[in-house]
Amino acid sequence: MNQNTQPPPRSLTARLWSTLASMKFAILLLVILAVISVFGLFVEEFLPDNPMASPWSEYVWEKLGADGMMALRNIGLTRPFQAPWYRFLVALLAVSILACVSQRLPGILRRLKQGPAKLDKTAILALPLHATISNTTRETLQSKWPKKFSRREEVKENGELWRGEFGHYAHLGPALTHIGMFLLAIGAMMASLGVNTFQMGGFPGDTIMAEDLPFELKIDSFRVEYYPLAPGQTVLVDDEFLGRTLKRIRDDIWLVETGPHGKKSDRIEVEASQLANQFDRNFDSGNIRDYIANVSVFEEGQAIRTAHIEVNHPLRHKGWRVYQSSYDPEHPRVAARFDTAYIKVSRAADSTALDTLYLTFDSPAMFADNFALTAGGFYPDYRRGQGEDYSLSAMMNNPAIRIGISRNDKELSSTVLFQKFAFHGSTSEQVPFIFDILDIEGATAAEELRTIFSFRRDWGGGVIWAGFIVMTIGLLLAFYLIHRRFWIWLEPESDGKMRAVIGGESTRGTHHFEREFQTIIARMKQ
Amino acid sequence: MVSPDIWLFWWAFWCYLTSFALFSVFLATGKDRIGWFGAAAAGLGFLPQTVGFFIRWAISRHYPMSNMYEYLAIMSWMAAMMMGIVLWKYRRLKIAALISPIIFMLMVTASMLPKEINMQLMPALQSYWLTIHVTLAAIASGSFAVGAVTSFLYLIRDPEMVSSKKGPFSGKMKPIAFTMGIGFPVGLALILALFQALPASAATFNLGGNPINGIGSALTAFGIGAPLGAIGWTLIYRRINRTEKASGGGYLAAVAFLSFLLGALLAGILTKSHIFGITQGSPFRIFEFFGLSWILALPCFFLLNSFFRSGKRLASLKLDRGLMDDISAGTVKLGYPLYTVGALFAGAIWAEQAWGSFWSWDPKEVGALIVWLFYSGFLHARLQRGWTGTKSAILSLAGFGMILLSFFGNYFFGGLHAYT
Repeated sequence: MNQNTQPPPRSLTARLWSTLASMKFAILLLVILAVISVFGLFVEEFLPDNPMASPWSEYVWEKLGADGMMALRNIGLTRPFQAPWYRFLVALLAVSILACVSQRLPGILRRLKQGPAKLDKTAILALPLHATISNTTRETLQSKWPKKFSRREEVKENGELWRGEFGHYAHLGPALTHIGMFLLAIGAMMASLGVNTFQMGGFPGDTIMAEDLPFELKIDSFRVEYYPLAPGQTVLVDDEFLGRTLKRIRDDIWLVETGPHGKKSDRIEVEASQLANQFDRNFDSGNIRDYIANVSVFEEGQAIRTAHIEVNHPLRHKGWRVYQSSYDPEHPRVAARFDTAYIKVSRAADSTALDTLYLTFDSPAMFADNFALTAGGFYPDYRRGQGEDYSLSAMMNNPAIRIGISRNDKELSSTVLFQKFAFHGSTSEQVPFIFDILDIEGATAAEELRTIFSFRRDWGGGVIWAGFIVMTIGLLLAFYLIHRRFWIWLEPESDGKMRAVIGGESTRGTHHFEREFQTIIARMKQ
Repeated sequence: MVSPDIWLFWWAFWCYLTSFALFSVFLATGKDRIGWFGAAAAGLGFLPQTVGFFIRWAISRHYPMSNMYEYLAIMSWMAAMMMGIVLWKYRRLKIAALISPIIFMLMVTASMLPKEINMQLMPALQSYWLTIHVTLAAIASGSFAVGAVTSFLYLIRDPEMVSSKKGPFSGKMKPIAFTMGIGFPVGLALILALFQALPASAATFNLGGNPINGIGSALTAFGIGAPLGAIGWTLIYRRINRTEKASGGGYLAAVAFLSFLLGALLAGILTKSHIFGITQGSPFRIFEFFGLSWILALPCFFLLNSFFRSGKRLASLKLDRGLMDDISAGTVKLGYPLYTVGALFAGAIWAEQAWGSFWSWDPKEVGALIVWLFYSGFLHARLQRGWTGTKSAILSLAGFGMILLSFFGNYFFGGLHAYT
């Protein structure tokens, strides 16, 4: 009878799947990805995506031209890690892992189910670790069998085989590791494809609403916390110059470095009261401890929950994550008041002092012939914006009061008075006076900053987490769990006694297992 | 007054230096007693380093792992602990003797970095993930460092090179000599051809107050050309001599690797001490640094080669190559899961909490990914394809080289991991 001994021809799909599952392909892909990643690191340096990022960027964009750079951008060379071809390679790795796992997993599960190999006496004697015990009994061996090893007993033709193992779940390690990797690759691709992110912010009291957002976020409060005075901080010394605290010499005296950093820098001793570590966010940002926002989440007009958002602690709600992204230090909202401002009124013509007014926010101060002075606003750190006054901070760096002057209830003019500078506002025929702030009593100021949140929703977060967990378990099993096996071949001797041929094997830590094996044998011989 | 943890650091530094010196004498004389003194000196360094770590923790009131000095210190601590484990488990003084220069080099590098205690962590660093992420990554890196040492030992114990009576520049040494020499013209040609209008490099040498300018382009050329020349020439040489029994390549790779490491360390010292200045803001700055490292590596190479091949030093290192191979693989198997979980997973989870995304393709992240991909390939090649011995040892050295590049990469690539 003719039999076709040739294996049936495999389909293209089967061969492709087999190639994808092969170790050679996986190693090649890992090497390619590693090389391209190195290449990508340098490419991002040499072909900057942003023409204004640095002098080099300007140079490259000028040399290659905008068209050239756009062409490079279109083929993903300016941002290689976001390029479709790089994603394709990652996807290929994911498919390769899937093929590899699907091909090997059934065998692994079978091995787990079947337990240690069914060795005969000769095979046990061929193991590097083996021993023979004569004149023993089944009961003795059963009672001395190491408890951590599972045990299966089988009767064979000319004897009995006992086989046991410990740490057999180590076999699952590589499979779980690869399943974890597959999940990570899938999760990463989902995250990169389905990301929805935007930034919005506001002052305390504001409510953030966005079209995509299934809830509203009311900002209850926002604050920037500073560290207390400590070594290594940038400080403003005596409102004059910048320095850096080196160490506390005595209770209230600090050693401050005022020149360039180094051994030869200028060092002075300064009282703590003359040092400020919160003065200007262009310089003192290194002293900031945290940015903290308290928010309320509203759904359909109802407050659902309150939350605390700070760096490393985003708000998670309905699949969205809200991060404390940044804040606007340049345009704070400052609410400032004073109890009484003492204003000196002089005649413009000859600077003769006429009166000292006690100005409050509650009522106008009357002077001369039915003139009235009203407080329009108080600015502790006055700045002139585009058509409006504002305070840069709540600190009394440049206190100023906007005043209104009227006569017989008719508004005549409005101007700003500065506490640290002499009056230099305009005078007119209608208001022939000049005004100076002598003192401001009971000044209080509260600063509110505009916080900026980053809203983000992407797909695949759960898959990525699953990947982390599965892969971590897989790695622990594969690399740190040691699989050990133990066999006993029992055969009858004379007088009802038995002879045991014992063998053992360990995947790692063979020196340690050798000692353990000898201990077990010694115990069984007792 | 010097902070007590810094004082303890210097105590450990001098102990490790003493240990290194004693182990060197041990290797030269073969007297075990001196070797054990070396081990004792390392132990005397390990203790204050451990105490110093906890003192620094107490002073700063946060886990002291917020800058590169602290990271390198914990890496050297891990290498010292691995030395202790090797001594305890295998009783092999010679392995410990060759781990000692790694510990010392890590300590030297750490000693050059700012050591001030960062009393106030920036908001993003105030997370317990800092502890998990950086500690696991540092321990894994220390483990890979020990693996690199045993791989180095494996390679320089090449039996043919040990028994060879030839001079240091004969026979198999030719290709490496050519390799080093060919890099310059190849690189220069490349630069001239591709980047004719390269902006002027501002790299300078300041020797005795006399700055030497105009060397940047040459250094860049050498920095690009030398590795390309090395790879190219090796491939050509292997092609020409394909019938010849392949041997000696591992030895050459090991000596070249150590030479480059020393060259880079010297270049780092010159840069740190402002004798050499790279062009800030230029994408070529890493090549300027590499160029200088290659130049400094050349004399190191010839000196090391003469050292290893002259007399009976290699023969006197009666090390079991199989054991070296096992230890090298063991350290990678120990470090790989820690690196995966610590450097990648913990880092990604932390990034998601702090920055909003698990992965941002930051240069440091890409560096860690490259290292991980490389060691993944290494383990597959070793466990599934049977790549042991020379191939495995060369890969282990290359992997450690990538660890170093990833670690110092932010000096050249910037990014979100802006440590000092």
